Amino acid sequence: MAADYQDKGKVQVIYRHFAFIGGESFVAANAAECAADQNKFWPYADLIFKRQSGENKGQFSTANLKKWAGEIAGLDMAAFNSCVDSNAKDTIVRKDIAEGQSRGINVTPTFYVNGKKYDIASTQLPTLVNSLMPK
Amino acid sequence: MAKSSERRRRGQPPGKSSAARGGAGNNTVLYVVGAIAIVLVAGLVILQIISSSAPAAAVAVADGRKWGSESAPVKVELWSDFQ
Repeated sequence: MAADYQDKGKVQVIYRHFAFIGGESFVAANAAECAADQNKFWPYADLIFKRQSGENKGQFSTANLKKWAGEIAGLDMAAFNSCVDSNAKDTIVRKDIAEGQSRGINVTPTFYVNGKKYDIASTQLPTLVNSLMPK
Repeated sequence: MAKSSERRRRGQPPGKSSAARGGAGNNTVLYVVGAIAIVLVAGLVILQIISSSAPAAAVAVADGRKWGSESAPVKVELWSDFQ
């Protein structure tokens, strides 16, 4: 989808935090926001999604999140680490979660496409996007 | 004309004419009030339906979390947990 649409300006994707599984969800979301400060949200988000391994089992420890950030080219590690350590983005993450709760979201992923909520699996998203694409 | 009108009034049972006219007037007022109430309730119901099915309001999100053109015809909001 990225190659077909996003790069051609046909689709915009906005990530919203719904960190509800546990403590590590918050730590990871905070770290991703710290990467966003340096315009590295998406490469970092892709990376940590690939490193998923169980829930609240230590995979998304602060140490791991910092270590993985070292793989993102061009990331200012000192600034990133300071941001992660201070939990600087907690308010942003919690604000997202509160909004998600107010919308009745209770499962991830949840998709809103052009403002409308769709209860679909990730694999169904390309078909939906195709159907909404202007002819 | 006046006589004819007078006759008709006299031909009616005593006291009934004015009461009947008043009753009819009251009924008309009730009908109008009822119709207005129905229209108002229907309007409120329609507004409620429209607002509940309206797209979610645009949200302020840091640019870092957006990927793709702001003018893209399809906007996907992905709510997720990294775990």
